Amino acid sequence: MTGGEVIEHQYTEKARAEADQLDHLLARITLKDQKALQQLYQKVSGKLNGIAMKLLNDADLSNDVLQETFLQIWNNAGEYRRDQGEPMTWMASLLRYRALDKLRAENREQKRRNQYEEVQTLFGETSAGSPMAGLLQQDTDTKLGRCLETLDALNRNAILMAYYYGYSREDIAIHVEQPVNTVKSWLKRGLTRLAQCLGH
Amino acid sequence: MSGPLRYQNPELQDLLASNYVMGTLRGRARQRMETLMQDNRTLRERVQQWEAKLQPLHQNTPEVAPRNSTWDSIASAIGGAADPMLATLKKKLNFYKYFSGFALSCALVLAVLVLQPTPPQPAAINYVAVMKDEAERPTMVVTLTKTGRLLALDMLEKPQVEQHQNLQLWAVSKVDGSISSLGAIQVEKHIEKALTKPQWGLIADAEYLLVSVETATGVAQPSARVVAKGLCVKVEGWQAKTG
Repeated sequence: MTGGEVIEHQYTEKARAEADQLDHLLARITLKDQKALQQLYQKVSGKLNGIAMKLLNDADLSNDVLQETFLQIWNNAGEYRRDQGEPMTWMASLLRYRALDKLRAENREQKRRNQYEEVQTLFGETSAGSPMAGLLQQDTDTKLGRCLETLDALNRNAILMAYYYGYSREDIAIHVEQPVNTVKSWLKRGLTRLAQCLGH
Repeated sequence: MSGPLRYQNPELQDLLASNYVMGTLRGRARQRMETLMQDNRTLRERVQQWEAKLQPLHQNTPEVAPRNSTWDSIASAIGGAADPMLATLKKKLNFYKYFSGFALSCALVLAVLVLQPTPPQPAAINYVAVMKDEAERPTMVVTLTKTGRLLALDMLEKPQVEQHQNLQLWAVSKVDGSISSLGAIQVEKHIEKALTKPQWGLIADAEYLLVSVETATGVAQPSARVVAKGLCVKVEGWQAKTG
């Protein structure tokens, strides 16, 4: 085993242990164990709230969404199946979909001024200051990171703006000053290539 | 293809699933997708695949601590709070917060009238334990103030104690579960006592406080008759404005 493989193996073991813990907590929550919900909250609420903040760019809304998500977890933990996905993926997805609903309900899509600079770094000549740059750099050992790097920058950035920052196609079009149909093409092309690369 | 058959097309399924997960499927299209997923297992699986594939993008998303009030709302919404004691504690704490503010005001007035005025030092409560009896009714409230290592105990309901018996207060360690005595207490509505430094250490280390009925003084372990027990909670953060 090479040094890189050893590190990756250790990381995988650690990630698996953490996932096992979350899985166990979800199983207890299915049995309406309130302490388990509290423990789960202590473990993942910071991360989930961080994801919500990226999407909503608003502390009030992200806390609302976090609260709604935990009530959904409380009520629907029995629906979670480990063989269909990791616990964190399941919870983050619940949260993301609620955040997307909230975006629409609050018409936040026109209120993204404060996020402009952060997102703009995606499109700069150098993306060194972009949070995505660090993410992609650290993700180079993952398949997703490698596949994203193979995409055309415009396609990749459109995907990241939508997934990570919650931009609609129309929002992206306004941001990059291109027609919506152009953005749709970027997204379609980017996702098709990403799917091919990821081996769907 | 039209209608449901149209959605059997793998390419279309993948496009819908990826857009759904990415968030670019909005409004009615999103609702329609959710309806379709209910009856289309393949579509659900494709969505799950995309969720799993894109999830690593959040690997480095910075954590943002939620507001304290968010957990409080969740706890109360799931019926009686995640820890019922905490809900009660919060109510009690409000009282004590105002009570301590009132006490401070009185002390300040006295200081102005009687003594040389000195800058008032707020005697903030550091720990609180709402003690409950076997029926889960709050019967005692213990507050602990680091300044002066002051322990105050209020009996909301006095336990039945025979003449030859006494009450003893104990701290249960959160580290190893060991039980240490904090001394005997009187059966009175309000008690105050200054703790020694080692006793304060026991408080800082305590998960629970409990009160037992004893027939002798200086016993090493509580008797089987525990009349009140409560989580010992550090509350400094609660006095700050939250939410």
